[in-house]
Amino acid sequence: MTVQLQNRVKELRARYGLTQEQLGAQVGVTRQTIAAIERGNYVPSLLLGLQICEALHLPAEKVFQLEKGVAEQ
Amino acid sequence: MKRLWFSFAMSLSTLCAFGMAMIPLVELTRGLALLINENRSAYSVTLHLAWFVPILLLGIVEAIDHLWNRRKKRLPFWIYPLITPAKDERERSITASASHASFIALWVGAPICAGLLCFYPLVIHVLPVYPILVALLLPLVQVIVYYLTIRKIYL
Repeated sequence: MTVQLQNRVKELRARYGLTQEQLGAQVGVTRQTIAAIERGNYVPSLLLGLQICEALHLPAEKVFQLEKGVAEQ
Repeated sequence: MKRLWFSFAMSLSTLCAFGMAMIPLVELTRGLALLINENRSAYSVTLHLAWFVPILLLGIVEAIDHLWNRRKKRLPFWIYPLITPAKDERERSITASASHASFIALWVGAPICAGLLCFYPLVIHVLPVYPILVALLLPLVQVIVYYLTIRKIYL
């Protein structure tokens, strides 16, 4: 069983009309980090995840979801 | 990304310049060894200072850059490990894995270089600076591994 963290950062950021640069500046990270989170290439720390949620004015479960899958043999 | 490649090029230049500075010293040592063996009464040994010019120029430029950035409380542009991005947690994490990969490369590279030194007697007359080249392979491999890993930050 594998567990992955899915996020809706890209969609929610677009809803608020924020650029990656602006969201990054709000939470204190670079544009590349926001891009990596959106692509699913980087799992943010709890602190950064909660900061992103705060910047998007949403609870954590609305932004990040756990996706469970069966591990490939 | 530009800064990364510039820093990579500067790292390689520094290694090359250091290697060049070693050439006249090796020649000087070989000259002295010949003099001692031949036991002459009058002798001369030449030291070509031109080989030191690149490393001296790089050293001056890097020292100025270091002092300038220290005054401005910024990360020096060229100092080794020439670029250590740590603006946020992702950069710190990639920098840490790049350092780890570089360290592993040292452990793989060191025995290989030690093995390559065994061939020195075979090439001593053709390539007297062979040990210098072999020794510089280690930082060269480390620098390449470090930059290949750290470029993920900018992808």
